[in-house]
Amino acid sequence: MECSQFQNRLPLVMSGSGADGERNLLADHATGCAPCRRTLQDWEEAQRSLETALSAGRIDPRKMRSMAETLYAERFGTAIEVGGRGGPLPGPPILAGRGALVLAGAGLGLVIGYMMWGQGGGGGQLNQQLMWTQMYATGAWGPGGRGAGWWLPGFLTMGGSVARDLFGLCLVIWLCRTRLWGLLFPLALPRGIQLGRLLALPLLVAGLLRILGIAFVVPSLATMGGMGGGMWNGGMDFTGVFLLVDAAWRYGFWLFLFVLIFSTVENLTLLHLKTTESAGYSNKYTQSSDRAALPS
Amino acid sequence: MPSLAQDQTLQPPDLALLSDLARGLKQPLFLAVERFYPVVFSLALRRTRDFSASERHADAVLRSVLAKLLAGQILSEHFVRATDALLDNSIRQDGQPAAAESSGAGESLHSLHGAKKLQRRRAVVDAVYALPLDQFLAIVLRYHAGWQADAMAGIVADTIDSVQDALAAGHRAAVSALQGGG
Repeated sequence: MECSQFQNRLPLVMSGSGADGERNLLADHATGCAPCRRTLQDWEEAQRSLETALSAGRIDPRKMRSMAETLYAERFGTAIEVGGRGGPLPGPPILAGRGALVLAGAGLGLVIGYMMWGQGGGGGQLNQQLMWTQMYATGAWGPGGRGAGWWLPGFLTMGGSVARDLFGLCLVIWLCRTRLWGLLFPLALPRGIQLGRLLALPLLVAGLLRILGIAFVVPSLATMGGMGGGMWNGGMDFTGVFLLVDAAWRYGFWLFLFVLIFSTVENLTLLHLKTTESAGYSNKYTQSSDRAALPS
Repeated sequence: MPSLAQDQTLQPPDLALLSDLARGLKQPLFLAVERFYPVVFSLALRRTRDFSASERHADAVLRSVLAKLLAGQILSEHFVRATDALLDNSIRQDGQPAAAESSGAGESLHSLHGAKKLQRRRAVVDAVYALPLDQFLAIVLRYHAGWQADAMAGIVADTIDSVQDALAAGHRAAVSALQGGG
């Protein structure tokens, strides 16, 4: 090896980019050449100085992993909060590909379903009858007696459309994936499923009460002469309670469906994304062997 | 092709990583921390010349910028610029002047030979701090984070050859400082 070759190759070899064994060739040349030996010693000393000065407090991989875990938990919740076994579920993705179609289809189906069946239908006749009863009633609950319940029929009648509109708004916001959704529902997706579970028990109670009320009220009204007749003239409190139970059932049921359907569809979307991600992951970001070492 | 050190832009693989992170996927988040923590640390070190302060700044800044990405408050394309601004802010708030810790000012002198060696080492480290950004990043990522040249592509320079050139230039500056300080 010539000295000029030595001088040219030394910086690259010392930077780790030389071919295997090239360092040995440089060392061999330096053994027999005093100026090149001196140069090699300088380079080696410089490298040692850099190693000594910069290797202090090397970055701990555990620290980086911990930072990522914390960030993920802060954003999407932890396994403990979720109650799952396989760690926290991935967060909501931005709509993309087939997942977006499934999501949009489910949302559309929900809206159409609500518009078709969300306003009560035949089952609303009893409510209407009871509301009229309430409207014309006297006593503590009726407007005739200027009681506290005068607002109830109007409120419940309007409540249906208000709830429908609110659901519609939420649906649009959810589909649009704006930050407003996070403000309206500060719940991570897995916690949405938990919310569904929490809703289930009061919903069951409200549903049973409603069935009992229907079983009890309908025959009684028929027997006692219908609207405003019989024992129900003095039974306005029961009518009001029934209307409230009915409203709780209706709104609770839609909320329950809302939470479950969205959570399920979102999970399906995530599953799709996760599968896609696993398939193309190994070579997507990696440019080097360093970056191929991924945390599980 | 762009690189972080040259024009504050990222290459497609890094942008894809950040985009997937922003979509809430877990693995890219881990990868991004692994990928960018040493870079943010190096940028902080260049400004503070203090290892512990740089670690503190890198921790706070990367945590903040990744949280913003996850929350959709910034786009992945703005990652570098946002990181730079947050780092500036963090260092300014800290109000800590450039420290001499990294150049070994705190080390005790045990002998004349030790003093000489320490002086040469200081000269090398000072030369590293005076390097252009790409060379500085190359040297710090090599010796502090243990990265190879191929891992630095996209951060230090666009191609592996350019990265190797930057590393060689950094080493050359260190050798010159050693010869000058000796």
